Amino acid sequence: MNILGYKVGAVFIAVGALFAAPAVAQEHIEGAVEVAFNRYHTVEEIDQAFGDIAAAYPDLVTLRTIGRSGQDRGMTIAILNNPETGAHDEKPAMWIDGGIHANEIQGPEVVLYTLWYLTKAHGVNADLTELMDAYAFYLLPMVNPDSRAAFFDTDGTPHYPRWNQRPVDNDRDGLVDEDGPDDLDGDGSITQMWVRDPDGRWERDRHDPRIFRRVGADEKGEWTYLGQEGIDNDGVGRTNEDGPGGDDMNRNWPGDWKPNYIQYGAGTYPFSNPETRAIGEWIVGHTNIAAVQSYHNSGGMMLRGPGASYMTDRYPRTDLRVYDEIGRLGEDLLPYYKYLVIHKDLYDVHGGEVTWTAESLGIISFTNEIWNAGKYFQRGVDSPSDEQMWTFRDKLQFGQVFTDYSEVEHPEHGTVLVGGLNKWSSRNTPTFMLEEDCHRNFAFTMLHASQMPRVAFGRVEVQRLGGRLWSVTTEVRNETIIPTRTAVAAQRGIGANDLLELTGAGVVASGSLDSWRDTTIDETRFEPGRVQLSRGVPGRGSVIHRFFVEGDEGARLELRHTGEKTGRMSRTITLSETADATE
Amino acid sequence: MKMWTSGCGFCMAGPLALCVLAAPVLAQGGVWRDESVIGDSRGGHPIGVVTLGEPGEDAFGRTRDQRPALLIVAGVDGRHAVGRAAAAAVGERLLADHRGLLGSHTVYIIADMNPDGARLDSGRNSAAVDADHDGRVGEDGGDDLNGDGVVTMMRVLDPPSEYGLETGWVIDEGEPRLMRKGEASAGENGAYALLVEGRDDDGDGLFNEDGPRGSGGGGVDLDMNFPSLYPEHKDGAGAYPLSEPESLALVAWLQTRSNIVAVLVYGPHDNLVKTPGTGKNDESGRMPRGIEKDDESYHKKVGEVFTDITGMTGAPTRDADGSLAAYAYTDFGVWAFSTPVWVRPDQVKKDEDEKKDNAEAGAEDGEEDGAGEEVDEATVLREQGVPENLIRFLTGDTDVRAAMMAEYETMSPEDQQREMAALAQLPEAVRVRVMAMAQGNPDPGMAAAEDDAGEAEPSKEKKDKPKADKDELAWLKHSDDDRDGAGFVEWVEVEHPQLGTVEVGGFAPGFRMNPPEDTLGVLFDQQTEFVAALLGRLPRLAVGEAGVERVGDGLWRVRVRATNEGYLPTRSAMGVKARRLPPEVVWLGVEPDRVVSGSRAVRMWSIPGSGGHADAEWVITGEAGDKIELRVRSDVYGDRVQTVTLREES
Repeated sequence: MNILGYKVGAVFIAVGALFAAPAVAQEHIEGAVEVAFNRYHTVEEIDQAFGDIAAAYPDLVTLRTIGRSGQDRGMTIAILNNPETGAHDEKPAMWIDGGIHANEIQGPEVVLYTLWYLTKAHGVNADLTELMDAYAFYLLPMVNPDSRAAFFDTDGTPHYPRWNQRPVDNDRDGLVDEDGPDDLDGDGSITQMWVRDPDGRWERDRHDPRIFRRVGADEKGEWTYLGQEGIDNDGVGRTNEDGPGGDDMNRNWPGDWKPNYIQYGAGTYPFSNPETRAIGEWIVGHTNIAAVQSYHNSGGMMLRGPGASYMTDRYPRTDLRVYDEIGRLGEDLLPYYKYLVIHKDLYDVHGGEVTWTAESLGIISFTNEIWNAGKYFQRGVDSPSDEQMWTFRDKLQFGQVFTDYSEVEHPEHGTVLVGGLNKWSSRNTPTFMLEEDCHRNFAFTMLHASQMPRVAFGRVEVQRLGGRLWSVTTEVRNETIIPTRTAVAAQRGIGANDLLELTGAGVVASGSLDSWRDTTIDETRFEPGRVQLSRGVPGRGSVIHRFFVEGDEGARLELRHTGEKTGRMSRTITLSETADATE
Repeated sequence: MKMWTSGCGFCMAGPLALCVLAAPVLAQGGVWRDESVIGDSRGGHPIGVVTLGEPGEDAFGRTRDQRPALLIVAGVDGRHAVGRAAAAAVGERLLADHRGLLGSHTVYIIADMNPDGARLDSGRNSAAVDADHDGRVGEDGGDDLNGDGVVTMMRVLDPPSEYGLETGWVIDEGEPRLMRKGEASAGENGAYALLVEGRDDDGDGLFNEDGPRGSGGGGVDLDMNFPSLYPEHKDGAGAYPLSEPESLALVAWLQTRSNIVAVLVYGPHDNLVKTPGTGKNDESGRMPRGIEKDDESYHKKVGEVFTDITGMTGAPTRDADGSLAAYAYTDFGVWAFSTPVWVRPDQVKKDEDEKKDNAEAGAEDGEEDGAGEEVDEATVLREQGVPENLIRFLTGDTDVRAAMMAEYETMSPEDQQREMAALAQLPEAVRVRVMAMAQGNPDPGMAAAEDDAGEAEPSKEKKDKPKADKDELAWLKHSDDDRDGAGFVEWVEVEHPQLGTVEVGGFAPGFRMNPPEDTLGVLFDQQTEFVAALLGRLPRLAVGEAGVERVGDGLWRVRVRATNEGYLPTRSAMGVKARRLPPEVVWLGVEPDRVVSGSRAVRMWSIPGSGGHADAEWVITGEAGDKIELRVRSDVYGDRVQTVTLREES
């Protein structure tokens, strides 16, 4: 594989030989399960597709329910792993999820696309097969299934429901969820309400009555905007002030968590929601997770932390180089998308998901905000005008994201007009462009995945120093740019150190070398045969360690490297003066 | 030598009378008492909560769980046996002597918040921790080398160099049982290392760094595991806030108890003798480190009530990061008080001192016993404007520093220059330390660095002659004078397998936390008196008769006043800010289209005490003789309903 212009080690080149098939006729890969990505899928459809794919690829995919949502929907992940190359939790793994904000409906589609594409590519496409043989993937399509169901089944807007469905007294009147929006025209969307008003400050456009325009200071209007579709269900004189839900689950994670008065939507305490808790416990329990991706919409961004300025020190320079390299290449893969920093380019986020995995757990983590307005016209029109947008909706989407205005009898306002842009508009990728958005975001995440640490033993030199004393110089190499321990993990003592052990003969001393040219070691004063690598193996680099061993010629030693992210690897070394002492 | 050690086989926390596990907890009380379990500890022991209050419904139709309540939590630190015993005893005494208060208020008691710690005689719970990140869990705690059954301290003269132990300690001339930092400027050579009694059990060159009774690891300190000001990644803080079943169980249970108005913690640290500071916030700028300015006078007043009863003039404190008290106040939004229940006798006003001016009663910061607990240095540095990366450098362990130095080495020359320029901006004292530690030298310490700098503020004490720590001297005096020397293990020589001849000794564990048995009765009486006084000062809500006034034909003004007849405001300033609990809400029972002015739901966030009031007022349409229902909703003070009739003269 040649991602990032860096050649991956020879260990994996042999994989190519497994493919007996000649060159494929076209780029398309046939799969056992066909899923259309020119449409959005409901909760049930995504569950069904996950089940179908798992059934079609039983050797690759295991479904695991890691928890239940507030409304008792199963939180089911797909564990994508080739067991022939090791157990999923003994190799670096990537966590990928979507739809924590349920209105941001592309996220789950990309996660489904990822499972769909990877499974059908295994054994067919060399690059992706090699990726899947080296790493495992944990795919959770819907972090917030309850609100996705609400979006599809009942009502929704492009911006709602973002939170979960946990009942919350938003307006602090002692009643819970007593006044949400209401779909008065029955179109399955919450749109806008207008009422005829002789003193109104709005008028309908003469040529296109779908457009309401504010009148000038000296003009007379005919319409007043009443807000979102709904009635005053609890009769307090306010409409839609306490709807279903909930917590913003992307503020409910334990890293830099702040209560609601500081971070709106935070939830009652870190992991107070069953959804975030289930994921959190899975991630904490799987220390092999070496990369995290979460999908949101919109704006076209690849975001990294920090979520707040005071967390900047959680991104030491060597880690930033990793983010920058992946993020900048991502800008090439995702036209109109930008690589940005959450607190600087967006807003402060306390208790966010990827900021937790990055800043508290030390895992390289990205959030993608899918879809960007520049993609509508793609000729340098980054922010289309109103007129251009109507052209797009009418001529490319054939009016399908707009609900025509209709008259509805409203209990408080009499006859009102209800209609406008529906829930499929604005933030959501037009369906005919969805597959491309899925593919490009998937490809970006595979780029990230391909850079999870990949360790292998490098050179080994055995030298007799006299009598029974030998020096054994070893090298552990990491071919990719993510170190086995990120700098933030090393600095803050997150997780366990990597271990380098030599057993089978008495190690009397050992120490590290900066390069093969070094002649003296930096001594490991204690436990010379069990070496703590607190900084792990650096990205695109190596750790060189020299052991002084007492043993007889021909003695067989075991050299072992253990890392939380990379699992365990070992090789046998024979005390011998012949050139190749390893096997 | 008479050792101050355990008599109870359950928790080894001290004399039998102190052990709450060996005695029936609040067994009395009948129907005035209820017990349930909020969750299990990591070790599988149930954590019980006792509810005390008059059974049935009161005049407002409120059950026990709907009346204003005080929550007492003890035993967060498993070694603090006196707190557990006090919690149980206060409950018994309230039932026996204060049933009147238990009619209007509820008291919840969690007497043993950390059952694992109590059983292990540990400040922490029984979570498996790998404090030194070496892939081994709890492998190197403290060890009893001199066979006295406890782990104390170990002083090592000229330790072997390979361990890199930090020396600098001398035996105090005036009190040779105590160690203190040597002062090079006074011609002293600090040739001793001072560390927790024990071996390097795992042979990694570190002593007692990861295990029970050591200087690191050995479970999670629950009082660092709550979300407020959470000290992430620090030893003892846990994997994430509320990672521990005990702290999570308490917080989850609290969400179901919106009638709690105050929390009282019996633990090693005080916030009653010394009122927490104001005006400092966390890094987000919104959460107080300390208390809100508007709560200060109330908190202080409660503290005065406390010191009047107990006579305490000083008590140990520590930074509140991740503590239960910080959570209860800054997040749950209720009053939070804490006391060690017992303090050293010289920190209590004697009877003959009573006449002296009360105002003299000042707090005094006491050092903690036990290893691994210290004043939060990071906070001090932050206040001096030291950037976060340097704070981490100064407060981190050698691995952290090594990693940061390595990081520095890889920077471009420009970046390195920038770092140096930033360093030059810092106070001299900080700079001296950073430079020393960057060269791999041991931390010269703030004091030493300040001396070097020669521009730090002068120390409070005159430095004619170096003296042992004032607090330790006082503890030693208490041990000698009042405890038959039982609080201190005399130094004895022991052959150490790795360090050669060492001396083992120091303060007996738990000695500085728990009192002699004969003082318990007085302490429990004091705490009961304080709880009764506190309950008497909780807010009390009275809702007056609604008034009606005719404004015009078919137009009426309706108003109702809620009055707080208690002392404390219905919500602290912090409670209003946190908005965790819903406010009192007055609902007007008329159709929406009859309301001319006012909201049908009027929220009252806080009503000051001592007769403070809040009014709700509406103008509505209606006919004379119409009956209007007014409903006051309150999770804390109960719901009340009254009906008013629209008529001229009311």
